[in-house]
Amino acid sequence: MTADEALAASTRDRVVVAALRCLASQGLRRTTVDDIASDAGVSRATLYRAFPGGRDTILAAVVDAELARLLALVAGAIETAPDLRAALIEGIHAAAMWLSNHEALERLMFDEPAVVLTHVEFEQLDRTLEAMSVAAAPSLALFMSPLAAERAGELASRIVISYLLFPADGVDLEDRAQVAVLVDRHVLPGVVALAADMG
Amino acid sequence: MTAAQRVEVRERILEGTNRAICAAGVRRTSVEDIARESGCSRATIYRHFPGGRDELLDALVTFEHQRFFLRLSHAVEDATTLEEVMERGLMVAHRALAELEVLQIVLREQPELLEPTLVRASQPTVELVADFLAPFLSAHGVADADLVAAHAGYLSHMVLSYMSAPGRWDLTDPAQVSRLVRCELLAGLEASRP
Repeated sequence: MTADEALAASTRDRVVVAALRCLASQGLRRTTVDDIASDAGVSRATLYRAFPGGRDTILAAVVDAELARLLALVAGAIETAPDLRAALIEGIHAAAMWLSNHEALERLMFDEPAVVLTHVEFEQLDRTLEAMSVAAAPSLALFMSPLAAERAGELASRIVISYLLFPADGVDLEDRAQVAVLVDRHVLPGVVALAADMG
Repeated sequence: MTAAQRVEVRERILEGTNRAICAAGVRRTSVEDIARESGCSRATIYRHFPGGRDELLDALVTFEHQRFFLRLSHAVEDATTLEEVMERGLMVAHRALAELEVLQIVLREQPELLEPTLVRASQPTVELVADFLAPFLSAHGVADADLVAAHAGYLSHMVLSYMSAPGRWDLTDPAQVSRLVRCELLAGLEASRP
């Protein structure tokens, strides 16, 4: 990386971090490019050099960066799991904890839910599930075939998204003991049966 | 005008809204287009939908949402086993969503129109689907009422997730749907049967 490229990369990172802070403090609608530039301590011109597409591309970069952080966190939580049951419990619990305690996400769900919901519906949900299951698959593949691991990762990802969006009595994913009941009762038998069936 | 007549006119206007959107797209559909498609005057439309175009679009999404789940429940009401209701439900729902032209147009042009209805109606829908599935679970041999509720809630969350986003599963292929239902969704249930 040349010095110029390194500078450009660090500007992009600063802008993304600043945009996330703006989203958490004032929501999406009220966040302007000027707010992001001022929070990042860069000029408008510098910001637009880093993100020629402006506000929308910055926001897309924020989503990508946050999704990458979530995926790394989940992979870390399950890679040390001694067995499949522990991997499912730790992965679901870690993802739910992170998502439920995400300041910007909480702010958006509270006053602009549409922004969040567009990422968890229809084709967008397919894309989000794909990214989450691909990230979980290598760790789950320790316990089953790679193809079955992708499906298992997809199932676990669905569970996290579905129960966070639509809470149910007795299924609080932030409570590890309740996650364990969910995994023992529904998820683990399903994943084991699927892995056996797919070979 | 009786309540029944009011409902009838409302439905006629919403059907007209649906047709106008399918013909011209969301952005280019005006209240005039809707009046022409539904055979009602502008005054009638504003009497039933004082908020005009915005209210019509929101009401249409709610109307189609209700109609979709009504059709789905008709399509599976004569299923005799839990496997059958799950398999048929997933396939019918997936096909119906793909063929719901107005939904595809809205998703392409203005997906944010769906949000108010989804925010308002999704939680009740999860409960509705769970209530619908509960008797099938009892018939399947799950005796304990708490377990019936737990499994019905889980299956409801999963059915709604798969019908809107099938992920790696091809829900037009009966063999795949059968594997999904038999293994991934119902294996846990088998373990809790006496």
